[in-house]
Amino acid sequence: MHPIDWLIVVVYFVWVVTDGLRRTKNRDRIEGYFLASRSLPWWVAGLSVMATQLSAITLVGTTGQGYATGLRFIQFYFGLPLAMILLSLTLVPFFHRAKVYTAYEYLERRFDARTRSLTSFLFLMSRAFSLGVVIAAPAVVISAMLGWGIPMTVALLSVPMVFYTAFGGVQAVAWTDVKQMVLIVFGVVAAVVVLFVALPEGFGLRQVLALAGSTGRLEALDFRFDVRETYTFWSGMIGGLFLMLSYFGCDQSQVQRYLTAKSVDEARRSLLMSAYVKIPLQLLILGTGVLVFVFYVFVTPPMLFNRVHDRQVAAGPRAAEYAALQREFDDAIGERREAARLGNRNVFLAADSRVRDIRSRATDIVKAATGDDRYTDVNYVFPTFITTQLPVGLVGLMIAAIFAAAMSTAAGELSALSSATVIDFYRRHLVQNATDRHYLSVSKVATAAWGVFACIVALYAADQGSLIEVVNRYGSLFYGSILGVFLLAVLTRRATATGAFWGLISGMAVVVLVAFWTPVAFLWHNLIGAVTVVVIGLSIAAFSKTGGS
Amino acid sequence: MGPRGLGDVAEAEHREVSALDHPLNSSYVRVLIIEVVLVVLLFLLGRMFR
Repeated sequence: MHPIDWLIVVVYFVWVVTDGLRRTKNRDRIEGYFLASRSLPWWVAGLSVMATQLSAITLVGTTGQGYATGLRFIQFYFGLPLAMILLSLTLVPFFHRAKVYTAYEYLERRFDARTRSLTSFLFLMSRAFSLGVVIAAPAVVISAMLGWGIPMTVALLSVPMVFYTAFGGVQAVAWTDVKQMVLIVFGVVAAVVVLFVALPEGFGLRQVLALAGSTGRLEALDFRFDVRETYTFWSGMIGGLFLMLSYFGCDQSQVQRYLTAKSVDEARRSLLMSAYVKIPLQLLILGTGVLVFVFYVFVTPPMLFNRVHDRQVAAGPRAAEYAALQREFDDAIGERREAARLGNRNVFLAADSRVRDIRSRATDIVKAATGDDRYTDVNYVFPTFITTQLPVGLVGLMIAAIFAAAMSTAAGELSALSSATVIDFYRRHLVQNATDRHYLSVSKVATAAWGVFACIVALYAADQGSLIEVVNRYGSLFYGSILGVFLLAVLTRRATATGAFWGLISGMAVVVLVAFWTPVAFLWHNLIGAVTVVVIGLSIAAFSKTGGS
Repeated sequence: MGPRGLGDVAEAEHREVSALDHPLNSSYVRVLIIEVVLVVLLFLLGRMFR
């Protein structure tokens, strides 16, 4: 990287940390530290909500998906706008008026301490491991891009983030989120401009759409009702709705964002911001990936974008076969480029099919040579484009944007872990009537401790590709069930503490069975978990009432 | 014992009525209209360029 790019990355780090800390007020009080004294305007809370959701792996992975398969992934977000409306009408005013610090605190008021502690514990377990993955996944990509060791990348991502989260609390997190979101959007828009400028003369938007569309990359919607398919219109609208209700309504890493808003309406507006902006933003990111595909029709791409195994393959028994594939790949790329220039659709599609086939065979060779069955290069497409094709200055900006995406998500999760630990466990079960100063000290220690724990998980997860998937899958086992408990809490007065507790246990058990013994795609698990908890919870309530009477 | 349900909490707190309490508030309707328009546009995009 050019020294100017390094300078931009360093300036970004210094600015984010110092400005974040400078803007924090009342951080000597626990309400200031965890809830910004409920003082933030809607747009700050709203950008913080979006920044927490948009991780680095969303940024590089989504562009990679746009490159590889097109716009289909957008269906994942179709349930989000409706979820935001439902939450604005139900849980948001409820949490705000109840003046809670955590989502789970409310469950004790409605049910009992047992249900509160269990849901908070489930949150802590799933988020703590997920935080490790949120750090590990981009660390692996950044390390490969810049040739750094994983521990150094993990440290660079984590140390400033833990520092400003521990000392500045949620206000530092929210204000840095604002800057990070602006940087991410600016970076992506700049990349789109560069991509358009780099297209051959006479090749405009219409030609881009025609070329991408001919490969099926613009077919975003799949209306088949097949529960085994991960991304369809229906899985996004129904399963996605329940996932988003659970994530934004029952996950402290999001609830804490809008609890910082000045009023109920400001909190609602912060969520409605995502309802308006999220799908267009994701389309922009996916569309950038599609544009990268079109760009690489005219500029020769690497056969595989993730080159970390090149040496192993070159030194292995299939090195000659791999080299022959590279020559075949170059021929096919040349043929595809020429066909695109001449507008010869059939020849273009045939050459594109050859390119895909060669990439698939090359991937198989890498898998065989390294023993890494899950090898994929999707997450490396955009970083490769950034480091090899963008002009000086923009490279630094985009690297900073990837760091920003990673740090904003991690900081939000870290602050939420600390608040749930201190409010739901330490203050509730261990030390109940201490001073704010005491709780603040404990909160800072908790933030630092979770930060260290996440770094250890990240270092371990970075070497185990499959672990990342396991952790993501593990988190999705609880989401629907926790949503079910909150539905019982706010939608009916019939539910009892015993019904909620055993409903939660039953919901998780059913989701585990479905996840491991059926081919049902994971988005549907959220619906299944929520419905099971509500049905079992209400049944137990009805049964105990009948038994009691 | 603390408040037990949505209605009880609302009664227990000093509650200001807001336009955003209404499910048919124009902000919510606008969100849904924008989503429908986006879905239709995506459908047409996929149909026009294939």
